[in-house]
Amino acid sequence: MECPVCRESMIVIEYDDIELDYCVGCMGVWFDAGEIELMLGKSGIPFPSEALRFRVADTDARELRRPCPLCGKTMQKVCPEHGRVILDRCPAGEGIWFDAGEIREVIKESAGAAGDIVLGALRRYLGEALAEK
Amino acid sequence: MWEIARSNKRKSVIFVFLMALLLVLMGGVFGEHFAQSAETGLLVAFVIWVILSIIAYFQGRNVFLAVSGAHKIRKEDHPRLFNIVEEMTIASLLPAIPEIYIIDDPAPNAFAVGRKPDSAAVAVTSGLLNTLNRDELQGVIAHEIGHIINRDTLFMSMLGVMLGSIVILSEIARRSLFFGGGRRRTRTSSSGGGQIQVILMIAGLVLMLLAPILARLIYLAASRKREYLADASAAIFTRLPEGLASALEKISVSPIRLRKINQVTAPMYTINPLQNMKLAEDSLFSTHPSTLNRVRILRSMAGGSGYDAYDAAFRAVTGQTRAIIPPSALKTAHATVPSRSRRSDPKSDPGTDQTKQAPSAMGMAGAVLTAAVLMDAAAEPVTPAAKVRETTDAIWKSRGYRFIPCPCGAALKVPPDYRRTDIVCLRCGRKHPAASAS
Repeated sequence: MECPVCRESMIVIEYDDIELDYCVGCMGVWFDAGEIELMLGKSGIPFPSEALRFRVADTDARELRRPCPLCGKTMQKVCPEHGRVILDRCPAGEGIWFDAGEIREVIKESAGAAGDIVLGALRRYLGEALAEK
Repeated sequence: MWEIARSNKRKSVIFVFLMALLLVLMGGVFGEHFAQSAETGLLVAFVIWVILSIIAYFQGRNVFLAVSGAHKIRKEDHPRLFNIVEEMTIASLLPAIPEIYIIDDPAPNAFAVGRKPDSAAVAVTSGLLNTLNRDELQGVIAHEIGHIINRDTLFMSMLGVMLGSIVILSEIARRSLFFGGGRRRTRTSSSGGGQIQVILMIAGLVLMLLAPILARLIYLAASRKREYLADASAAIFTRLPEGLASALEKISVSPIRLRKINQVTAPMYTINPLQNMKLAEDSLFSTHPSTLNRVRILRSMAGGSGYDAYDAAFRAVTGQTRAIIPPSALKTAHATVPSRSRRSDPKSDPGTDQTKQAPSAMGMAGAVLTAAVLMDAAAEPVTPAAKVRETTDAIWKSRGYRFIPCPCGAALKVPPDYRRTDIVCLRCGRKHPAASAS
C-alpha cells in the first residue's frame, strides 16, 4: 500500500493481533476501517467512544487533498467532533489517515476522562509514536 | 483410484456430444437465417469454440486463478496447509503435489484447477483457513483433490467453454435481430423456399432463446454428479467422512459471500457461492447438489469410508434406486475402507487407532499419511486469533512481504518494493536494517 503523502510503500506493523500501516518517510499512520474500534475494544473501551466522532472540517483549503491508499478516491477532510485537528477520511469508509503527530493532537484535544482512557489504549499500541518530540 | 475418472470419461463423451450438437445446430440455423448460408454460421460457431478452447486449455488455469485473486504460497508460508495437501496427495496417489494458492476473502470456500493431475492447483480462501479445524480442512482439500483425480477440472472447463460459445453465439444472434440484421429476402431459386425460410426463422428464434438454457442444464447436470463423486473420494482419502460433512456445514451457514465471483466460476467451488443455501433439494438449475443432502450422506455412511458405504448412504438419503458410484469402482479395493476417529475430538485416541488401521486400508500410502497426521498434530494454532494470524501472515508472504520481529513485541512486515535501507519501528522507534527482514 502506498503512503498518500509521500507515495512510498508503507510498512505493516502488527501488535496484539492488530495491524496498522505506516510510512517510514513521514511517519503517518493509516487505520483500516474498524481498527481503532478494535484497538479500543481490546482495552475495554466501549464503542462508540466520544473521542471517535468526526464531522466534516469547516475549512479544507489549507491542506492538500489526498487519495485513499486503498480505493484511490480523494479523501474527505474531517475533524473530531469537538476538536480542530484536520484528518483525512476515505469517503467510501475504508479508513482514516493520521499525519505524523496528529494522533497525539487528537488525544490532547479530546476533553476529560474519555480522552485519558483513549490515550492509554493508544499508548499501549503505539508507544513511542505518541511521545512528545 | 482412477476408476471413477474412467467411468466419468464415458459419460463425459455423452455430455460433450450433446453440447457439440447444440453448438452445431445453432451455428447452422443462425448462419442460414442471418447470412443465408449454414456454412458461414457453422464456421463462426467453430471459430468461437476453437479460440475459447485454446485459451481455456493453455491458459484456463491461470486465468481462473487470476480472476479469483489467488496468490501462490510456498511451504514456509503456511506449513500446516502444505502438510494437509501433501498428506492428501499421498493418500490419493496423485502423481504430484498440486500448487497451493490462497485467496484473501473472508468467505470460506475452495476450488481446484488444472487439466492434468500432475500440474493441478488447489486454492483456498483465508476465510476457510480461519473457520475450519484440521479434520475439516483435510476433508475440503481431499474433495478438491478428488476433483483433480476424477478429471473434473479438465472436463468442466472444456464443457464450460462450449457453454460460453453457445451463450456468445446466442448473444450475437439476439443483437443482430435487435439491430435489424438478418436478411429476410427469400431465395427465388428454390421453390417453396419461403416456407423453409419461415420454419428456419422460427427454429432460429426458439434456438436463440432455448439453447443457452439447455446448454446450462447440460453443464449443471454434469457438475452436480461430480460433486457427489468428489465427496465419495474425499471420504476414502481422509477415512473420516465427518471431516468434510462438518466443513460443508460450516461453509454453508457462513453469512459471508465471496467477493470475486460470477456465474462461470461459481461451479468450481466446493460449495456454490451463488446458490441460495436454504434450498434443501436438488433442482435442475443447481450446480451443486444440496449441501444438506451431501452432509446427510456423509453422516449416514455406516461401516466405513469406502465407495460401498457412500453408495448405500446416497441411496438411503436421496431415495434413488440407481447407484451414484460406477459399478466398476464398487469392485475395486476402495469399495471398503475403514474409517478413523476424529483427531479434533480430545476423547479419542488417534495414535493407536490410526496406526492399527492405516496399513491394512491404504498400504504404504496410509502409513505415511498416518505419520504425517501425527507429526503435524502440534502445529494447529490453539486460539482463533492465532489461526487468523497464521492465515494473514501466509497472505502477506504470498505477496512477497518479509518480516522483522521487533524486541518491543511488534512484528514489522516489509513490502517487496520497499526502497529504504532502514525501517524505524512505529512503536518503539528502534531502527532495523531492511536487509534483516526474512
